[in-house]
Amino acid sequence: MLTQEATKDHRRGFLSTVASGLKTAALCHLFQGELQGFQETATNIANSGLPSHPPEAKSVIHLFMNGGPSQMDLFDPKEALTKHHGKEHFSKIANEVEFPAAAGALMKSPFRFKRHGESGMWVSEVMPYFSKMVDDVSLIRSMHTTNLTHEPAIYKIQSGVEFEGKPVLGSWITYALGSENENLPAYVVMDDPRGLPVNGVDNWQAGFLPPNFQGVRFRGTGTPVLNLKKGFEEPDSITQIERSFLESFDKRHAGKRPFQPKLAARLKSYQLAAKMQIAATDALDLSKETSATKKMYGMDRSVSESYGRRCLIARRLIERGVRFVQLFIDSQIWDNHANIGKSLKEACERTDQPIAGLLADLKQRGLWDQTLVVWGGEIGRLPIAQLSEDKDPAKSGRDHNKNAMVSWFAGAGIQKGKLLGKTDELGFAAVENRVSVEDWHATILNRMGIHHDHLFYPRNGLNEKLTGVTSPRVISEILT
Amino acid sequence: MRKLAVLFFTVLLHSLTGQSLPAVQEQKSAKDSIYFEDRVQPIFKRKCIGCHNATDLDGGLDLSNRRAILAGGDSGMVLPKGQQQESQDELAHQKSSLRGLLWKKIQAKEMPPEDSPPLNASELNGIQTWLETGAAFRGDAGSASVTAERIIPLLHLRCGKCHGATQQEGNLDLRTLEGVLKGGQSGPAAIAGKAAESLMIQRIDHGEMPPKKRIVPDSVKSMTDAELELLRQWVDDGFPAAPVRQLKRRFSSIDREFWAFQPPQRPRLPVVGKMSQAENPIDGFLLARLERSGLDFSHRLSRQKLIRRLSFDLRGLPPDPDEVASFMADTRSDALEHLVDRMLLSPAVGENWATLWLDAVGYADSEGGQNEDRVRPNMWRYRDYVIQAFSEDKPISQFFVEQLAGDELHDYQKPGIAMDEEVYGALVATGFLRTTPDRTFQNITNFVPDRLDVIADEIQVLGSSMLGLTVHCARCHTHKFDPLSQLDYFRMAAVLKDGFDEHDWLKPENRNLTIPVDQLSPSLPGTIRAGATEKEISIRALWSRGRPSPTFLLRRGNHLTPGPLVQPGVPEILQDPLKAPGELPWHSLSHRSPKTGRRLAFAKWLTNPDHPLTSRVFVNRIWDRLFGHGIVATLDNFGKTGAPPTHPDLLDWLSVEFVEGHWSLKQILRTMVLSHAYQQVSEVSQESKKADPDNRLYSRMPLKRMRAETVRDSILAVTGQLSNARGGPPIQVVEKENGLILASELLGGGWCRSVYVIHRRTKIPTLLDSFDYPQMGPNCVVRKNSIVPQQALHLTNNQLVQSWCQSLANEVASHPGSFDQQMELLFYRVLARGLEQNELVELKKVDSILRAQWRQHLGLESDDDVVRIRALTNICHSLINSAGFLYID
Repeated sequence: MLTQEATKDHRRGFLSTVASGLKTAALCHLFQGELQGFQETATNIANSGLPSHPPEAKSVIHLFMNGGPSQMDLFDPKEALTKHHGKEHFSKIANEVEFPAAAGALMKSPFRFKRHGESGMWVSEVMPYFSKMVDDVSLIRSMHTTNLTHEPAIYKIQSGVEFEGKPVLGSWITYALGSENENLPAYVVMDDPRGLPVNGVDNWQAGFLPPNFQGVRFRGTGTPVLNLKKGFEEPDSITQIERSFLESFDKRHAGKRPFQPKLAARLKSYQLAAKMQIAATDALDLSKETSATKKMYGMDRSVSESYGRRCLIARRLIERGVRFVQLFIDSQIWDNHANIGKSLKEACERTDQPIAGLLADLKQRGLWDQTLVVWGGEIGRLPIAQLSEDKDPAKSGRDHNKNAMVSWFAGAGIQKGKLLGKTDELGFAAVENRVSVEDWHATILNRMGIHHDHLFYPRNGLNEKLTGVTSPRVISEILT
Repeated sequence: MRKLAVLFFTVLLHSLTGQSLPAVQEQKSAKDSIYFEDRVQPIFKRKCIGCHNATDLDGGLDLSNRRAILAGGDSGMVLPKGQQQESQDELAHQKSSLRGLLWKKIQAKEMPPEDSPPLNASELNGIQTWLETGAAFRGDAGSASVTAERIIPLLHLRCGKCHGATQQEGNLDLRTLEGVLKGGQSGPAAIAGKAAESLMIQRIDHGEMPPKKRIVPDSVKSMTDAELELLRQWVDDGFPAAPVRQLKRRFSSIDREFWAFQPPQRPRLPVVGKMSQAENPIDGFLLARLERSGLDFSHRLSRQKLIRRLSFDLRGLPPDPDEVASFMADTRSDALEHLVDRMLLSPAVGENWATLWLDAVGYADSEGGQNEDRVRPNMWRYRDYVIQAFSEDKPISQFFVEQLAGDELHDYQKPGIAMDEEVYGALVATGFLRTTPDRTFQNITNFVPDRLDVIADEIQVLGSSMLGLTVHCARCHTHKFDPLSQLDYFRMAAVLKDGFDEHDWLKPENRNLTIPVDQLSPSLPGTIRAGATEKEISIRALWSRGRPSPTFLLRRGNHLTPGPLVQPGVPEILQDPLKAPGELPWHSLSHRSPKTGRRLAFAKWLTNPDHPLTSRVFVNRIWDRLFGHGIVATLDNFGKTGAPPTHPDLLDWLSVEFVEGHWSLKQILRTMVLSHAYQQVSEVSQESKKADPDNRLYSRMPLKRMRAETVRDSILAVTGQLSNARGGPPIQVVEKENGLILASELLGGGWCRSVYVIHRRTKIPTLLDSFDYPQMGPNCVVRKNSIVPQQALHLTNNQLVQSWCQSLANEVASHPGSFDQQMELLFYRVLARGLEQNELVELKKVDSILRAQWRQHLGLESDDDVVRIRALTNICHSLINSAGFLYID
């Protein structure tokens, strides 16, 4: 443990960083520095060694495809499924099925596949826009997780464990690196106006980390942040008078209480709140975007307008220095238990063009090399059919699968046109270059300049880490 | 090559589907000829087997034969993983682990331990070469047979759901060998020596048991091929019994010397120079340390500030202006004692201090774990129990015993028993063990590992709230730092077993005890009848069911790798060294009922006056809340990785005083707040900042921000909105379209204190959330104290906060006095102090500017009531937002 003197200097260092308007970790440490007790003090010091190595990316955009996109209907075609279509297989995988009563036989994909780009990656017909981007991404077909149910699997991919209460990926990253823009939150979440994802607000909880590392929910329309605008009628001039009266009152209070940095931090937080009102409103103002840009994001079509808007705002946010942006879709559009030929296609129609547009836009604006884009869900799907009540094959879908799922990475420090990993011949389980959720986390941290063992928070007698007590491996094959 | 690939693939599939791997080491030994039996076994016999044998099983590890070595120990596998399990890439990344845990321990010189003869160079070389060439065995020679120790847990896991405690399908009970032999309707389940002819083997082998379509509805998974093979062997070998294990003491008397494992002793009071400053012994202990650093206490707080501090610390609410005035006017020498005693009688004390315990236990009104975040309808009774216990100053020892074993204290099932405060309270108290997130209400998340996670969370809560030890760390391996073994963890799991049995699980909706309304004693408060059906009330509880399944140690915490049978017990290091390791000091039940009494025995042990941790951990928590940080800074962890006490003598004095004072919370609170230390100012002088920068020596008091609940409650109190309605089912929250979450107004108007608002994990009221109201995961050890713009945004922009300020403005404006008098009233109300002259001048100025602006905005010629109220609302709103309100000197 460092001496108390060193701790104090450390704290003061951050305060002066803020005062001079400098960037990065300022915001978080300003608020964190005043926490009491040895634990937090130790934490400051623990993470002061970050970044562990020069970062490749400044920001992350996480396109979270909650629900469980079907790997064998999107990126991982399986001839064996066509060949053995209709053959009984359930008894071999009975322990791995969520709805055994509805389990059917092996089922071929209802979609046609083609190879695309120079890399020759297979993509099915339901993702026409992404097909054109395959040479820009690294696609991983060999991910797996530990629980086949949405809730625990979502907790796992967000926070590393199957339960609520632990900080999520975005919280860890912003805790480590702070924000590049002190007028905007470091970790912004854009959920779907149609509704919250499964696990609701738990998806962006800071757990035991200080709550300023919690994701701040931005709405795509209307007031972007809770309480950002006055909820009552009052002319701005009067608000301004009240604000300056409060400030002078607070300053007098602080003046009588020397050596209480938390009072200075509090004053600062009121100023930040005022600045955030302007900065957040500006970030969400799409009136300055051209119609060509909006079209690129699919905002001219009603099916993709909503997700396209969120993708475009995501770009505007990372342009402004937001560290971690996470986009959600309402409920579970990828959870295609039934009628997969139709429901999966619809999920793609909502997201395919917006995502391809985002990638293209990042490239054309020179943001590619500083932004890490990650696409993926929390589980994959089974090679056997899940039958509808009337057993009509046309209405079949697929049940959950924890043994194989897909994800792709793009942008800063990521190889282009790289395909990694294999599943078995039926697509049931990843067998080659298997990538665990911990590996996936470690890789994202790595691109941000963080070694997964260097980022921790002492609590309950343990240095808590995103990757826990595991020894994950960074997926070096997809890195530049 | 092709063959290898196929093998590789099948093995992978096995590991994916949760099947344990067949031992594969021998397959690759073909090309090498270094065998364990030739080269390594003699070394192990000389240097390792003394402790790592089948009887002593140190670290759960037996190194005497192939099967035992492959099974590994408490910390998992000791040999390197077979290459077949991993791809080449992963291997390249894990070069360091190529030689496995066994080598790691040897290389780090952890093994053999210091007091044993070390391995010499040739022995080291032998072991290393053997490991590097693939750790080959000659074969099965000398391996132990499969015994009941491996099979009984397997039968519980795979068959117990339908052939166990609750159900005996086909009249078959497979929990014991007797049950297997007796069989069911179709005859004996197994015949000694004849696995192939045994019915159970056939049924499992043919995939008939468990019925595949019942896997999810029954939350049971089918037996793996490897497990079935073990079962076959056991049957073929004629059902070998479990080996008899003699438990050795794991930890030495040196481990026991650690301060926190020694019972607190009443220390001698120190002699200090400034004895005159000492109000009570607390001050003596603190002054002794301060004087050694050339420091002194800071001066005393003014009476005006002191009453504000006391009011927030004791009741969580600002003082009433009249109360301030009368304290200021009280000239008695013991005016302070009178004030403290009067405050301690307030029911608000229970409401305020209950949050300390509700945090520690992770109280919530919903299950969590699943998206539905299902509401726990009767949990509020436990919240009211805690408030009531603190209000009536129930001895904390009794408070603990009731929470751990209230159901075993009373024979509540006896016909005609009167359900009075004592019995009702004791049953409700067991809700302590029902607080954590629990997803088992859905079949798909109600498998054995899901249940084990719930139990682990409860053990974590018990460990951190009552014991002050990180017992949960020993779930998967022996604790890395503290003398807590995996056995200790499972001893505690066995204590809880007859209420918490992963093989005989009660889903959350079945955890209610129902009490007929006509059995409720008339003396019970009316609120407890809330939510009652016509005939009965429901209590969410944990109760002894009198038929616990045996508890087996789970290697690596994994339910697929059970180890030896474990008896209920206490952590060895905390126990009387003359007893058998871990033995639970028995406490017989006072009544005849089928309960096991395990939890009661544990609770009595925990609350023994000599217990080294219980009283220390509790008084430290109280101290932390009053003084800003604990004497032990890590409230939940008094182990070696926790912070050492800054004032060990003071901690011991407080503990002994507390226990001798009949574990009275209020008595110890009174002692603490009447100390000089507590009455110091919070101002930081140059001198104390330099010599005591983090205030570890208590040379001053901390400047404290209100806690989340206090922020909301205090705003309600000073604006005249706070209702004194107490207890009963929680106040609901509403979620606005924009995501804002607000606690509802009471039906008759006004708002309840925040402790009564529903704590639904996914719907925490926004105001509380932004002021660090905890997310329970599974509990909250320390409240954060953050400063974020969301707090400012809420207090300045939220409509409800503004409307409360408007009510305050109306009330102030209706006061018949002058503006000066109205401002004086407002200041007393919000800040518990009078106005300073310069403040009045400024207020007058700002009031006139505001009025002018409002006049202009509203298009009025002169000030009318509307203008005056609007301007006054702005002033009230500023004060509510001010640091002077939100911080406590």
